[in-house]
Amino acid sequence: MKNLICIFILLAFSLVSACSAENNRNGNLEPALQNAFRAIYYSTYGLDYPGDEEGIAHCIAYKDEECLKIFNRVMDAKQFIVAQIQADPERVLNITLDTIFTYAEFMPDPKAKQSDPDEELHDVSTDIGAIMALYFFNRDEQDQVILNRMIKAPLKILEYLFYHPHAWMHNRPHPERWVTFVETLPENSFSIHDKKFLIDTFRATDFKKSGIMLDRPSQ
Amino acid sequence: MRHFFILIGGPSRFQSCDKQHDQAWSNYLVPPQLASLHNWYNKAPDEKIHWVVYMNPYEFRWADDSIITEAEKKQSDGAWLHSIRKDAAMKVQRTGANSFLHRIQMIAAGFGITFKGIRTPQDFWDYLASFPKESISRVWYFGHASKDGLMLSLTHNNHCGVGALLTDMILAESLPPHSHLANRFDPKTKQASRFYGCYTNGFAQKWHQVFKVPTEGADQKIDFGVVNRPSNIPNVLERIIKTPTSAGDPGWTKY
Repeated sequence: MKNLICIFILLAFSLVSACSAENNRNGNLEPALQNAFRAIYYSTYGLDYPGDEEGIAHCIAYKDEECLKIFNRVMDAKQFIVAQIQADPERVLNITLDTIFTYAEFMPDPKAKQSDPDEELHDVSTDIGAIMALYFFNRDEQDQVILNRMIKAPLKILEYLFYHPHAWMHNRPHPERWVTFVETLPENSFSIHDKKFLIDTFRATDFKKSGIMLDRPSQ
Repeated sequence: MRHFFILIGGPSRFQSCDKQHDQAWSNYLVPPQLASLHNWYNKAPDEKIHWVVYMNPYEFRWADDSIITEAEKKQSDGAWLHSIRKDAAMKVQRTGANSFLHRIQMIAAGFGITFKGIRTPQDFWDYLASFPKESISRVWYFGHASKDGLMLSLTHNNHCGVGALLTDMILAESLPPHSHLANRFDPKTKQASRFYGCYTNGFAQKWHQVFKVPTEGADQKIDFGVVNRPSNIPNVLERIIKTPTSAGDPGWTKY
C-alpha cells in the first residue's frame, strides 16, 4: 500500500512537472523572441555593427571589441530565432506578426516632438526587430500569411514596414506579389518616388549582404 | 547665392557605463566652430552657411547636465563625471546662454551663420527642398554614424548597447527616394559634400550616386576626441580624417 502511494505521488509530481515545463516553454517563447528582436535591431541601428563581410573581417583583424560585441550579440539572437523557426515555424511567425502589430501601438510619431529616446528604445527596437525578423520567413506559405496580415494592416504599421530596414524585402519568394501590393498603397503616404524605390527593392537581385543577412564567418 | 549646409548631430544622454561616447556635449559642434573661425572649409564668396542642428539630443542633454542631483560614484579613472558635466553646463551659462542649444545659436550668430533647428530627419529634407534649383553647393555632416547611415542622436539599451532610434537616422538606403532633390544641387560644384562620422564611406558613395556631386567619407572609424589632443596637424578637420584609431586608418575616401 505504502509503495502504491509512493508511485502515485511520483506520477502526480511527474505530470505536474511536465505540464509546468510545457507551460513554461510556451509562456517564455514570446518574451524570449522579443528579446531576440530587440537584439537584431542593432544589425542596422547599432553603432559599430559591421556593414558587410569585409567589415567583419576588419573587426576580427583589429580585435575591435565594440564591433565584435555587437556583432556577436546580433548573431546569437539570429541563431536563436532561426532555431525557433525550425522547431515551430507557424507559431513563431504568429508571434512575430503579433509583436509587429502590438508594439506599433507604442511607436513614436516621427512628426511629433520626441520623448525620452532611452525610454522609446524598448518599444521601437522590439517592433522594428520583429519587422527585420520577417527576413527569416521566406517560404511561400509564410510569405502569403505575412502579406495577408499586411493587406489589412493600419497605415502606421505599413509606414514602419516599408520605410525602414529592407533586408526582408530581398528575401521574398514571389516579389511580384508584393509589387502589386505596393502599387495599391495610398499616395498621400507613399509618393511615386517611395513606391518606385520599394518596387526596385523587391525586384533587386544584385544587393550586397549586410545587416541581418550577415553570418558568422566560417572557421 | 549658393547654400552650404552643415548638418550637426547631437550627443547621447550621459551614461556612466559608456566611456567611449559623448563624455562631452559639444563633440560635433567644436569642429564646425573651428572651421568657421579659421575658414578651414574654404568658403566661397557666394556661399551662405547654414547650421542645421538636430535639437532633440541637445535638449535632453541640457536637462540632464544642467540639473544633476544624484550622488555619483568616483570613476575607475578617478574622474567625477558628475562635476565634469556640471562644469560644462555652467561654462555655457557663463557665456550668457540658457541652454546648449542657445549657446549653439549664439555661436552661429557670431559667425553670421544661419541657424536652422530640426526635430526629424524629414525636416532636413524639407529644408533642402525649400531652396531653389542648383543653389546647394555642398552638405557636410558632423556626428555619429554607422555603415547604414547618419545617426543624428545616440541612445543606450539596458545592456549599455549603443545605437540609434530609427526615427533619429538618415539611412543610406533612404537617399534614392530623395533623388528628386538632385536638381537642388549646383551641377558645377567642385566643393565636396563631406560626412564626418564613422563608416560614412558607403553613405558618401550613395550620396554621390543619387545627387551627382563630389562627396567624401570615412571607410572606418574616426575619432572626434583628436580635436582636444596634441597633434602636428593644426587643422582639426584634417586631423580627424588622418589620425588612426584603434580600428586602423580612417580610410578617408573621395567620390
